[in-house]
Amino acid sequence: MTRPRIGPPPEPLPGGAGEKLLELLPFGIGKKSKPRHFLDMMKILWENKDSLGYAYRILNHGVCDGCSLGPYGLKDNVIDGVHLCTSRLRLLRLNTMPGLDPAVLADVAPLLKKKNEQLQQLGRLPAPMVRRKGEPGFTRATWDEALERVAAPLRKIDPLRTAWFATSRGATNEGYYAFQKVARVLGSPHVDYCARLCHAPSSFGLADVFGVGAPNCSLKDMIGTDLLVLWGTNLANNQPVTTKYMHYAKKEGTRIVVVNPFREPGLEKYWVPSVASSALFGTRLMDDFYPVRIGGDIAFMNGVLKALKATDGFDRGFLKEHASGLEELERKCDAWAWEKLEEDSGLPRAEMEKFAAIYQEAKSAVFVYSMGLTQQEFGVENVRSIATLASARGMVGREKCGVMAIRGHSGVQGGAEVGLGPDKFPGGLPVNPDNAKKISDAWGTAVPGTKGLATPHMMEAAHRGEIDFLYSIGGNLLETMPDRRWVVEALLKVGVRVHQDIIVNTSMLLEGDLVVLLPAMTRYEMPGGGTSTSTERRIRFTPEIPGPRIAEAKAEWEIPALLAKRVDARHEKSLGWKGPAEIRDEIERMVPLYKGIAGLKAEGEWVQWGGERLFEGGRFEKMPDGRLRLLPQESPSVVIPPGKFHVTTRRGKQFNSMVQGAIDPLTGNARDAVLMSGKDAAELGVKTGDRVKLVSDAGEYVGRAAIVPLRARTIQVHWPEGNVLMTRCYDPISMEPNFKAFATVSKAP
Amino acid sequence: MNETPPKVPVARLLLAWGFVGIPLVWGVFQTLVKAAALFK
Repeated sequence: MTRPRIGPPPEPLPGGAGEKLLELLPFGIGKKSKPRHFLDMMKILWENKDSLGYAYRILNHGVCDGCSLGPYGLKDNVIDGVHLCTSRLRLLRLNTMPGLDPAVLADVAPLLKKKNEQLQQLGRLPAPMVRRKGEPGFTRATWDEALERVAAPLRKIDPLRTAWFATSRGATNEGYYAFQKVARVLGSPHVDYCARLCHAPSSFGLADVFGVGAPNCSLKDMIGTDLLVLWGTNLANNQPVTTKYMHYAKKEGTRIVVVNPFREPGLEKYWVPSVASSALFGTRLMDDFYPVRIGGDIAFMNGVLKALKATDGFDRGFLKEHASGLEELERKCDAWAWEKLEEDSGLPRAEMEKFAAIYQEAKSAVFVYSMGLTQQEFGVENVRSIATLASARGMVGREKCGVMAIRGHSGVQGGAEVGLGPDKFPGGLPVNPDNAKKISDAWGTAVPGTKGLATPHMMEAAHRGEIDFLYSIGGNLLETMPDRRWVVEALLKVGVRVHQDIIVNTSMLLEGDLVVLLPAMTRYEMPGGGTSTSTERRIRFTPEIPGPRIAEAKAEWEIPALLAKRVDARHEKSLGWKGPAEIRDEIERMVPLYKGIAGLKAEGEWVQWGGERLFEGGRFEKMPDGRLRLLPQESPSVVIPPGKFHVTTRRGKQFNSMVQGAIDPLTGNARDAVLMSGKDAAELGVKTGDRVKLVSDAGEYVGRAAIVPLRARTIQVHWPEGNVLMTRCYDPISMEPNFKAFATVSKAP
Repeated sequence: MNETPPKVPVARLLLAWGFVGIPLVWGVFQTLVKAAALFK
């Protein structure tokens, strides 16, 4: 029987009588904003009509290369029943499409007019391609020719003037491990990956509080917890199957609270297609909504902590036994003034007290957060705050409790864990001369013992003309970094660029002294299979799946190793893997957390490092005193300059920068939508559909106004298109870009 | 602060209800007609 939901009756659904009349209709008929699953499925079926058998086998035997929930086949470890979403289906075409005609790349001029997704549709990269300065486009090359062309300058370039960047895009732990090892073996400490742009602050902030910078519960803890808090995250779009988890959570009496500047329609109500009742009439998800202002999260959390203290809401028994910093937390709670907390958070005291009262009633709680918290210039402070808020009531280390930094890409969790970062070696060893010696001894070759550059620093160095070589796996820094115009300048100053990828992207078309494209296999094509780590720390094996192949593509892990051995044949000893199984063996030796990875050999096999929950029984073994550390943060005051708006980015119907739908069915908006409040629209004299121009210090953007339930003086534009506006501002601890800007907004002709 | 979303246009509301309501009413009517026949 369902438990009664904690807290007061949920807020009524917003909207007038008309909206409520539409809610009564099946399948969301007449609603502008709702997922169109069945229509999407038909489109995807048609798109993959030439490889339906292969697509079917990928879905049934592969580990999903979409978001970070990490299902195998059509199942996961969270619920019974089907685990399938349209993000995964949309990604299928990247796996099934044939190679493009190399002649298409012979002249890049016509391609420069195409958007990233249009370039993707050209087809898979079929063969190594080379473009020298002054040439109009790429020429096909053999692997030998292409590798030698890159190796020749690389032998002469100072390793400290080389940069190595990878994105996730279905990459495997074996690929990550090989890539960072190649960079280090060749003498470069400058190796980083796409987590720098999403959850870098989580690694720091969670480690500061708990000693481990990873999500500390399992996804199944979301179902049946008393309180599920979604903070700065739009799960309905980014990890769609979590809506199914939430459907079952609601059935078990979970209360769902959302804290976000925008009342995301997908979190309000969602139609889960594989649950009949939900597919027909939808499932109401959020019970409460707190429209915190951008940058006001810490203030709101501090207000909740202050209210908890006032009502004796801390779990003192847990804190006295397992935490340090309680006195400091209490002192700070007393010192914080409600007026400042209200001003900084943008919400009245009563809202913070209401949240605190619900939280205090909860016996269990899971906090899920994402880039709403991390993509800030105080991202680490935000993460410390939410971890402290969860700790204050002992919501870690037990069933139905935890802090879940929910990841985007399928294997992104594993990258840093196997050593793909400028400040940590494999096994989480900090980069320093002592640890460099340990790694050098283990690998039998010298590696640098100085910290390397994080991605934003790589780009700053490139812009200063200090980077001569960039090796990018799957990445498109041009589209994904803030301040596009400046990124173009930076990339053009890099003499040699290598792009290892499955498809063409816009950054490949920028000229250089030498630009080389190297075709990679997808995770489903790689002989010997591969592993990826999900957001709940589950390392799962995905096998090679029979199907059509790009004849000349090579495995992700193999290509950088081939290059390194071409640079210096002596690297054969340290990089001479015969297959991914040997890399898994090496990871097992080098990364203690990944104990068991060497044994993963068959379809669907997995190990979950740390178990279902970290810190069971309140043991924080990675903290010096074995206790978690409460770290209340001071709230920053974000002041929007007069006449300007606070602009942030959002995702539409898309999977990161990889696939993007023209319309976001959850909001009904197109990619060029400029989301704003009705109040702001009225003051600007614009209505939905009007062209508006945004101008920031970084650039200009013209889109169409969309009036939505958003905080006043806040604007949302889609990522990555809106990056032209974003100024280069980074969190100083994690070097995460904040992807925010202050901009003027005016009606455009 | 939070803002109420724009109202649903009456035309869309009528269209949506028509799409669902007309077949529904027709089905109910048919059921009644056939049920009534049983009592004749």
